[in-house]
Amino acid sequence: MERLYNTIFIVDISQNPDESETVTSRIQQLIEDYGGIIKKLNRWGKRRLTYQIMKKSHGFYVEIEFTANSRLNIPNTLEAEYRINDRVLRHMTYIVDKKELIQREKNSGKIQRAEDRNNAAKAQSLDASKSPLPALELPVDPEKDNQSAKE
Amino acid sequence: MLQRKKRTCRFCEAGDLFIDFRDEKRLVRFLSEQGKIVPRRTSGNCNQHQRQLAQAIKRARHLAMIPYVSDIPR
Repeated sequence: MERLYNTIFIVDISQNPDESETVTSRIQQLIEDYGGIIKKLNRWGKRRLTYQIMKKSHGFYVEIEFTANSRLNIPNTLEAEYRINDRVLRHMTYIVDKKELIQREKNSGKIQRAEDRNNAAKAQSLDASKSPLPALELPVDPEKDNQSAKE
Repeated sequence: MLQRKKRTCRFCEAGDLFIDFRDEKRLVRFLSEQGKIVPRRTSGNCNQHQRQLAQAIKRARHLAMIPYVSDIPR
């Protein structure tokens, strides 16, 4: 059965900042070698850990989403790799639920709508900023008229 | 007689189907000061969402995004 998996791991970059890339490419290669297709790669970046893991207080988070046949057993291979690799502080692999996908679509819709609203608000504020300008100009105009009238 | 205001499930109100463990700010609101999961009778969540929330909190804890225990500052 074709499944959508999501795997997240935390890399220790206290020794070497490039470590995150080497581990990421290694995991990517593993997934592709075993017949998975990478859909999304998301680097969350260096973040503070809320509690220490292996006496480290910071870690580099990477999230990879991939599809694969469940018979290929990729999560197990990844698990083995994560366990061997001592640069990986934490890891988690899970099957993405249908509900999560629906929610993501919804959220993207929400973000879209929020952007639309922001744009609309901006347009309104622009209109608002435009409207006081003529109002400011207005009192000048009568004077001008007066001046012209005086002249 | 004191009548407590009836609490409603916030996730139902928002129309959420899935509670994402990635936004820890939202999860933290359902944790006690010590980092315990707030019970349903207090949070007012419905059964389905409370269970999803618990799952999300546990995933976030594992990834060190929210604490397993946090001490009460004295």
